Amino acid sequence: MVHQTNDDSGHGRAGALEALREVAGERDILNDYRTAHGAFQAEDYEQLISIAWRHQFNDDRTKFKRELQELREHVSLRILAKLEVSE
Amino acid sequence: MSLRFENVSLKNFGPYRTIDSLNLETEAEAPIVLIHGENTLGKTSLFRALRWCLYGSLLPQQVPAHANRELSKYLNRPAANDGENLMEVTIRFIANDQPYQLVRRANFEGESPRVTTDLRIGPTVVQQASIEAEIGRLLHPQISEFFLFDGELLKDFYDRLHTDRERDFIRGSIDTVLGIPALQLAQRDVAELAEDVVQRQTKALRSSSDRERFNRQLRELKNQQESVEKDRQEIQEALQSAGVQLKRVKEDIAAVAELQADAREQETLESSIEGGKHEEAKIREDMRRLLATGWLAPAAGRLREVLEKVESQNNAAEEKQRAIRAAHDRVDVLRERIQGGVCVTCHQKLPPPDESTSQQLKEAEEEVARLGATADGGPNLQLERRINALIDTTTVQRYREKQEQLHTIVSAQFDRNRRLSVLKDRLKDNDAAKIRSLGDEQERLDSVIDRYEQQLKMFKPRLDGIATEQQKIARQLPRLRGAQPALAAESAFFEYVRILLERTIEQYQERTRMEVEKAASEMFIKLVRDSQGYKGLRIGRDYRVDLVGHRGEPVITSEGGKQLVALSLIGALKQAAVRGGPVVLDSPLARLDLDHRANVLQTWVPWLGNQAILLVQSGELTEHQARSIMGSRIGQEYRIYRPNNDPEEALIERTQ
Repeated sequence: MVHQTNDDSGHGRAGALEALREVAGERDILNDYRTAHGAFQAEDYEQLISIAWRHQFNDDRTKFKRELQELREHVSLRILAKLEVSE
Repeated sequence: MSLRFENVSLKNFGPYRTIDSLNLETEAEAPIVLIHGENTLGKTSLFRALRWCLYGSLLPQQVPAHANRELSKYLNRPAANDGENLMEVTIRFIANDQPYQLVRRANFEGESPRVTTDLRIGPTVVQQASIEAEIGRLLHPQISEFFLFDGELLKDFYDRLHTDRERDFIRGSIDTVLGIPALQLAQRDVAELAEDVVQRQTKALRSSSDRERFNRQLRELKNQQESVEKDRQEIQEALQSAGVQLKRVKEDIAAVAELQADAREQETLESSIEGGKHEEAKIREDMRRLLATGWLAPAAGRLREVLEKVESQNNAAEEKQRAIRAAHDRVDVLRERIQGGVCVTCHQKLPPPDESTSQQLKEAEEEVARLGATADGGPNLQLERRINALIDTTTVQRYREKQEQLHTIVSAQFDRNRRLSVLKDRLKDNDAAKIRSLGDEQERLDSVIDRYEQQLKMFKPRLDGIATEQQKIARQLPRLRGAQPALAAESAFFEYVRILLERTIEQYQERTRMEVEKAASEMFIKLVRDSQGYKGLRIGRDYRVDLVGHRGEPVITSEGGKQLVALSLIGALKQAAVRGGPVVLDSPLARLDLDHRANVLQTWVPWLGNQAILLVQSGELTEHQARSIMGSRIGQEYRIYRPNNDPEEALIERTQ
């Protein structure tokens, strides 16, 4: 089925999120990025797509980077915890 | 999401002085709006009014600034003559259950038209700066070719699909609709952030030799990247510049499009006139020859009179000879009878003579003598034959036929010369060479743009290679002494996000391509009369479209087949790109044969969604045919007509 493209939040967001989740579940991604994958939660993927869509028409990318860094701060803490455990 | 047009209003647009709220509302069971109108009445004007209101452009891929230069042509002429200078189109539609009202106005008070737009969502007025983005969010202009489709383009659509530019355009349109640019921008920013973390991690290393080694590697990669980016930027700028030039040339070509048609007609006329001259000379020569060889033809009447007289004399002479022969026979019979003999003709015994027999013989001999005395020779058949040979029965008829042919050709030549004179007046300052040079320039720019686009594609693998090297470094750094765990976590985040975005773009594009391929194949199989020989359509990763047979081999198709491929792809792209939205088709059936028209209406149109607005002329679909094919699926039906036989004035009336 073709994904709904004209949703409230702009063309294709739902389809992109679905594709992102599928990619995140691929075996080689799980193997190669085990720590980061383990630290990501479902809403982090949603947040990532949401930020990308929110700023897709902004020529000034600082807002996108700032919001992505905010997301990164949360996830990095979890990654860091996993890294420490693995050491 | 659902988007549905509710109504459209026009003021002074094209031939329409006023269309006050043309109802376009449809329901699921009756999703079709039919607007009938003969050629030149105003179907395309209505179609362009919708496009202009939505995007400020009149044609596909036209930027609003270019459209503004042509706008004055669309101001209703009688209104302009009355001093009115406002042209306005309003579309009311429902999107995401909210009522929208979009108004676009052009004011022609100054030298160039001043165009303003007003968008309201319910009672809320949308800020000017956000209007285009809001409309783009609902119905992106880049995909307008798939839902505002001009049937005239159907003929060329298949061939256009086999050019790199068109395939790139289709792929780019789909990417835009899917939001791929959002992911690509994010991917680029994430790469920058990842690179920044790597640099910071390198600085934190304890070993100065490690620091130096990785710094050197990073610098080299950075230099390579900057060099590639610089080259890419230059080509990008050159491409943009060529694109602007091409647009200008296309505008010039559009401006002389009519003149091009005139120039083509002039060439055809000149060739016809030349051919006509030869034909006329040949007919005149044939007539001269007929006059030379058939000089007796005018005397045919007199000769016929003489012939009649000779025939009459010959008939009389033959009659007299027959009478003499009969009289001789009678004498012979009477003599035999007197001598007791047999009949000279039937050889039967004659009755015996009586007293009157001798008298009868005497009278018969006198009759022979009398007839012999008046006879003046036999019929002159030789004379009759000679006169007959002199009478010419064909030359006059052939001469008359030649005369008629001459009259026809002289009359056609007169018309051609008169038309040629009109065309020459129109083309006075635009010679064919100048018009041709525009076409040559367009061809040159097309080729330049193709070359630049090919060059741009070469940069991706180089940049991907640099990114891979950067990733390798990012993975090595955390294992070295002095590496900061926090930076390692940061780097792990960005590397993960970077690979996710890269794969997501590929996955999303590929999935959509497969969905478009599947939908287009299903549609084609339903549309084509003989579906046995086809497996469907194959859409390559580069959006190359092939019709394939049962064994998966590419199949060459007819012109009709190409149109069905185009319709199938447009339908599938429309489904992928504007799911749930309306579709407006101007003359979609004009180039299809009768069998396929019904099939397209019954099969293809319903696939298009919950609102299909069809602008048709009677040559492609009469009102009667429309009702018998689509029946109750027609939600609204209108007819465009000219109230006063004035080509600059049109009205629309409801027929159902």
